[in-house]
Amino acid sequence: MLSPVRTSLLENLVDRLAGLPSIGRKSAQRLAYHVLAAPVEEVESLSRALIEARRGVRPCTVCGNHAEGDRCAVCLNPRRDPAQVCVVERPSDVSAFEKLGVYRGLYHVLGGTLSPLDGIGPADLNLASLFVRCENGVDEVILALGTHADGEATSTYIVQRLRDKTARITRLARGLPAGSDLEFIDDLTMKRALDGRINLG
Amino acid sequence: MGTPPHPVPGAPEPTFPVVHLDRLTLHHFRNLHGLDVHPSPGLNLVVGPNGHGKSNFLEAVHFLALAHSARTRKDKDLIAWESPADSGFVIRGEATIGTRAHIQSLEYRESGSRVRVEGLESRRLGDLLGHLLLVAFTPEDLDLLRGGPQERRRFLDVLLCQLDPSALDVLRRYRMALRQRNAALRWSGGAETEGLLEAYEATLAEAGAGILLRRREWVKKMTPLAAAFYAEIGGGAEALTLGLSIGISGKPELPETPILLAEMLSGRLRESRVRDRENGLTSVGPHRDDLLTFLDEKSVREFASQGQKRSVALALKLAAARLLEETTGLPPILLLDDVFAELDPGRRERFGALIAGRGQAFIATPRREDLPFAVEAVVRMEKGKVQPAQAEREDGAA
Ligand SMILES: [Zn+2]
Repeated sequence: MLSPVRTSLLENLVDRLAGLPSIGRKSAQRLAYHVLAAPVEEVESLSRALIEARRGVRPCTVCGNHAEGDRCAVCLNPRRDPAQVCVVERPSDVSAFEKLGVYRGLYHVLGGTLSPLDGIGPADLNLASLFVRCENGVDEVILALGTHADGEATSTYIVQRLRDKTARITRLARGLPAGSDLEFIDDLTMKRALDGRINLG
Repeated sequence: MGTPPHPVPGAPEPTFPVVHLDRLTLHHFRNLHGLDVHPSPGLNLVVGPNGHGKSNFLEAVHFLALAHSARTRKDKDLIAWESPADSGFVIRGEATIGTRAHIQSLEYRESGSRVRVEGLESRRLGDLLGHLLLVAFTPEDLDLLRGGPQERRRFLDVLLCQLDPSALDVLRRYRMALRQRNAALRWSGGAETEGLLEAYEATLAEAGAGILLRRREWVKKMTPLAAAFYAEIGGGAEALTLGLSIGISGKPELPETPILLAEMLSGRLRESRVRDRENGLTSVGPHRDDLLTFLDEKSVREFASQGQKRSVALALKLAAARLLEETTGLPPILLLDDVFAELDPGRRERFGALIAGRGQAFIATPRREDLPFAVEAVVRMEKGKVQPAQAEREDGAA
């Protein structure tokens, strides 16, 4: 019989891994066996990387993107145009736009979309600081949220709140497949959507 | 076979670009496991003792094509009991659509399903819809006029998605926005609530207008077909007509354009906020629609006999199949589970004549004598397995 202690250590590891997104029970088991078979130094450097990244990466105080200090690399870049702000759901959307290399403005990362079902209202998103940012020096707010119901509702909410502000509001052109998340869209489609954005007011 | 059926007005010649399943594999689906069947492109009769998997086999075809079961609302009930933890069921079909080879599969798990259509992966069951065109005639379908409006809306919406691929996304966005607005109605955030409601109402109104206009258009197109089929199988002299009851109180005249209709819906949603917040439910919109049927202008639901209701349900399903065929140029796959026993001999004969020879069909019946036509292939099910060969040819079949 296996000793109960040993089993629970392995089970604990599998449980932790299976708790990660898009990792099922089977993959978690495979990863756990891989970890158990790997040299201890390798596992130590993996766990160090996890902790260092988690401790060292924080939301940018300006835009909410991942940052290693107060501000993220985009906000720190003096050549970016602070008059243009592109509103996205997640930091991964920022990477997708940056990969295109055509956008010269700044971002604002909401940290998700509205979803009353999940208890996520306006106060749970990084919205207040967006509205403050738009008080001064922003000419254009580009809404680049998903085209699913929650992305649309979040866009509608922002348009309502910014209606009286001076900034021009645009959203990505409807080249995007309906119901989609930005992270699954190919570069060309995304560039077309950015080039052909639509005025909302 | 008997004399050919009277042509239904506007009936196209049988077209021979076709939709048919060439191979179906199943794992852990109710009592079916490790099943690999190569059906005929014509009429397939599924035989075997009751409780050995005939209906389950048809249900699997239904699920693969239409992304839901007609027999249960809880998809997880379909997972075989003895399957390992967090495994689900798997259905995979190889088909011919028109002249193309087509593959779609579904790996259903409670923790999240995976759908593959033509090599493209998705996590949404609905993406299965609209490829393997299919119309089902199950005992549940025959109760279409007995049950609530929800079943009739689903009948319309599944048909819509098969007729017009853009309908799926509109329905999806509507359903999501509706659930979110209902949650927002119960939101305890004071001033925030109005903003949340307004945000979701914009999407509800826009998608709702899209649904209403599509439903109205297709109900209109289905009406003469359903009337002709009813005359064919009903045996009575009554005239069948269809209508759409819209989920807006006072049943106002609908504006013709999507933009005007969305504006109207948006206004109605705003007006209903106070009442809706009391009930915690959205009272306006196409989720309150119903498909209406009348025989000689009398409501079928209220006044028709059990037999008439069945005939009307059959006529609606036949009309759906014909509409699909006329619109896409492809006769859909038909599923016939236990329907012949439900019909009297006259109706059985007339109904059989309307479906035979129009493409692929899967038929399960407890009594073979009830079938008014010969079949091309027999799939014999015993204890959840196909016995003894995968399919045997029936003697003397066409
Ligand atoms: Zn930043």
